[in-house]
Amino acid sequence: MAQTTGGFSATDAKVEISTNGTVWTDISGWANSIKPGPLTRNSGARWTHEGDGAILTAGKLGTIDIDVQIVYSEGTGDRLATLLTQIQTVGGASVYVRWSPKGGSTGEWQFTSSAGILKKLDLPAPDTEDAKPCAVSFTVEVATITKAAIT
Amino acid sequence: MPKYEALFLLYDRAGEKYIQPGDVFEVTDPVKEKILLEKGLIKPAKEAQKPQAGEVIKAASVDESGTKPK
Repeated sequence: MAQTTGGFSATDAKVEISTNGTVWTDISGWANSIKPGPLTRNSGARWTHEGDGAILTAGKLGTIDIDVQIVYSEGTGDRLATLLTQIQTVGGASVYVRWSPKGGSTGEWQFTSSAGILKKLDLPAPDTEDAKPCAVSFTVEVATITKAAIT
Repeated sequence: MPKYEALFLLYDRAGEKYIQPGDVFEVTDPVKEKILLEKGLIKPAKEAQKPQAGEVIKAASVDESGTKPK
């Protein structure tokens, strides 16, 4: 079997967030990592008195947690402000996430979430023993993710 | 303007809209056109077949004798 020549490191990905799915904010200059959880589908099994194996049936698609870590900055381009507003909105407010592992140029693939719920937002946590740039992270739970090629 | 058929789900970032597989659309940027073709994401759209002048178009439900097949 031939080995792929299409492998690449996703260190120059494009990451964007949105509060309405239409207007997107590029956070690539802040985003340190994005970790989408696995796609899952509920399944169920029951066993009968006769036979040994289970009767297995498929259920609905599971939700997906997308964990994003961004560098914390203050002043112009503060990306935490939008997230704080969204998570503190009574009843919850939507957050969409999309990312392109290769960087988001024409012909590259882009993964776009459906409207998600911002369910966790870590605040800046100063630590004298950590010399890395201060970072914050957040988790958005979404129902679906769509893969499409960028034109 | 060259028209192409989408072979995969595409996303037009400029217009912030999806282009479904099978949809025909115009590609205005020659650089994008080349990349999308090279990556096999689009193919030239087939032009609708137009009847030639004087060509008789037969109804599908009528045979050569002009009677409807049983």
